[in-house]
Amino acid sequence: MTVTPEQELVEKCQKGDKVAQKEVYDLLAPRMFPVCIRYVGDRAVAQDLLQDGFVTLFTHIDSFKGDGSFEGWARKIFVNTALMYLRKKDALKMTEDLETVRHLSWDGASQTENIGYQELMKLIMALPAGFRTIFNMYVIEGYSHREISQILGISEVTSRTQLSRARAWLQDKINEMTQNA
Amino acid sequence: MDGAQEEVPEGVWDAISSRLDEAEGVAAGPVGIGTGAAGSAAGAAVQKGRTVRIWLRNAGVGMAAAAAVAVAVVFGFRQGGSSDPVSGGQAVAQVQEDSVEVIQVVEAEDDALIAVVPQEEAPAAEKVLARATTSTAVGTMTEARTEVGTETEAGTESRTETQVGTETETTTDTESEAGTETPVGTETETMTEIGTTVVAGNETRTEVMTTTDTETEVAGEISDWDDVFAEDEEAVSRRRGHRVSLTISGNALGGNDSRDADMVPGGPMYSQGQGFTNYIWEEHTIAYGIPISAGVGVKINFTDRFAMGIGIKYSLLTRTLEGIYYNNEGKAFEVQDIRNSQHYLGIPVNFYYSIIQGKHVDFYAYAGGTVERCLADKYLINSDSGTFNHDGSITGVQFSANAGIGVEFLATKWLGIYIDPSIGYYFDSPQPNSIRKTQPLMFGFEAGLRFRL
Repeated sequence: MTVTPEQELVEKCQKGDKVAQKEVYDLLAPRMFPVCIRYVGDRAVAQDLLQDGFVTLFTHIDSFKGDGSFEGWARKIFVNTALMYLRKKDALKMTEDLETVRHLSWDGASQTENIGYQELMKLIMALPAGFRTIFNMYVIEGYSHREISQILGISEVTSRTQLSRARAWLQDKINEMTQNA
Repeated sequence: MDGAQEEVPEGVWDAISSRLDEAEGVAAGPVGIGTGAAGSAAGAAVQKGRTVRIWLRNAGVGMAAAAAVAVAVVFGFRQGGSSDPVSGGQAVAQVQEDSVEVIQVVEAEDDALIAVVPQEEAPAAEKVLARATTSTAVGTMTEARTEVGTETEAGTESRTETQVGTETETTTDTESEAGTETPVGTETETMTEIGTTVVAGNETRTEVMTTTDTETEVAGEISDWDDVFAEDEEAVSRRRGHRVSLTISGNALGGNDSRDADMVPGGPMYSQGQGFTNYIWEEHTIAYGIPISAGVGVKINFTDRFAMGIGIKYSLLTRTLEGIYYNNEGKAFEVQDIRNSQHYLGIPVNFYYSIIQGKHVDFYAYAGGTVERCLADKYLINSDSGTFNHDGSITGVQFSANAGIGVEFLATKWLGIYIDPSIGYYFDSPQPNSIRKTQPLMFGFEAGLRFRL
């Protein structure tokens, strides 16, 4: 059975190879940093979470059994690290502070194709913490409402309601941007 | 957006690398979530400082308790004593105080010859200026030279001098004055030999030889500082006959301090397409229970001073934490009440050196280590969606080292009660997360019974 470059790299990291750890960092950091930014909405905080996530990853890399994608396994670590931070900051309480509440359908693909990634990131970062978390977990990470409700300790109804409000707010902002463009 | 990338600022890898090096160099270090690189380092420093303060506090309490016990033992046996600048021999028990009778010396006209004449009755006009007292210990001979001076009302000054060449041998006269009470059982034997030779008309040469043997048997309790610490031949002899002791013990460790310790997660089990399964993501340890142990063993005396103890010890570690529980299907449950209990079985080995072996108490120092393994890592998960049970995975063994001082009270010739405060260090291990990882240096307090076989 041939060993893939990814498996070989992971095995070296499990043996404490510093060079291999740096390679893993160079490979994953640019992809995990935006994950952290999306959840906490602050680049400085996201930088700290990136550090924490990598320390956790390398400290417990022995527990990666190779059953799936290493990047997917790593992503889980960074998402959980971000959620832990938000929970400690008591930032996961659902809020009502959206300017408008409208029930519009979300067509992410068509409505975001007219704006760039950076603009979309700015909009997501501007969301209140609770809405931003649910948006990230449902739209980006692919959690179901049931999973979100169990992880965050909220009801499924709350998860759905908050998501629709987040979508409506984003939609308004995107429309403003496209009209002003 | 899922595959989006962001440029990472400079210096992040350096911070990660140094934290990894620190984690490798320190036995345990929680990965806290700070608001900045400095905040994380400060958080780790604060955690270390807190750990040190907790250890110092617990060590101080333990040492004070051990010292209080030792003082109570020693002062409990003590019944007062006396100190005497003029005494000799090894003090085993205080016996009596005797007074030396004033010896009046008449200075001869010819100072070439000195006479010492003990007076049975001192003249009423004489005033005693000094009195020497002697404490005589059991079984010893006391020998002292006492010089006193007397002044008579008549103005005569007498002094005692011994000229080289004379064959005067004076030992302390330990006759008891009338009215002196001696303890029961005291036997005093005094022999006084007096020889007087008149050499010439106005010369008198008197030789006096007085020896006293005093023996007192004191039955009952030891009543002096030295008594407690003096070697008791009988006790040592008794112990020589009991080379092996059976030990039953109980132990509690310091470190029960509720804290907001962020545990390093045990690592996810990733199964394809489902995320984590059969796993608890530990977010925050709410409190640790006091680690308790119980065991049985044997203590083998190689010599009168050196011994080795070996046995079997069971330990229970508990804690309450919060986190995310993923069941076998990968379903996640956010839980604020997870009860964890870990059951360990180990083999402790210690070496003992007896510092003081008294009649009723032994002081000793000991050091050793333990190898143990977690046999069960149980989690009781109380979530809003129901209660779950989860068994953690276990690998490897736990090594620890310990040292301390102990005291054993000999209730009977075959039964002893001992107290062993100690300091222990738990080396890093793959065992489940517990207080031993966040506070590897711990203070312990063991007590138990030893049955001499």
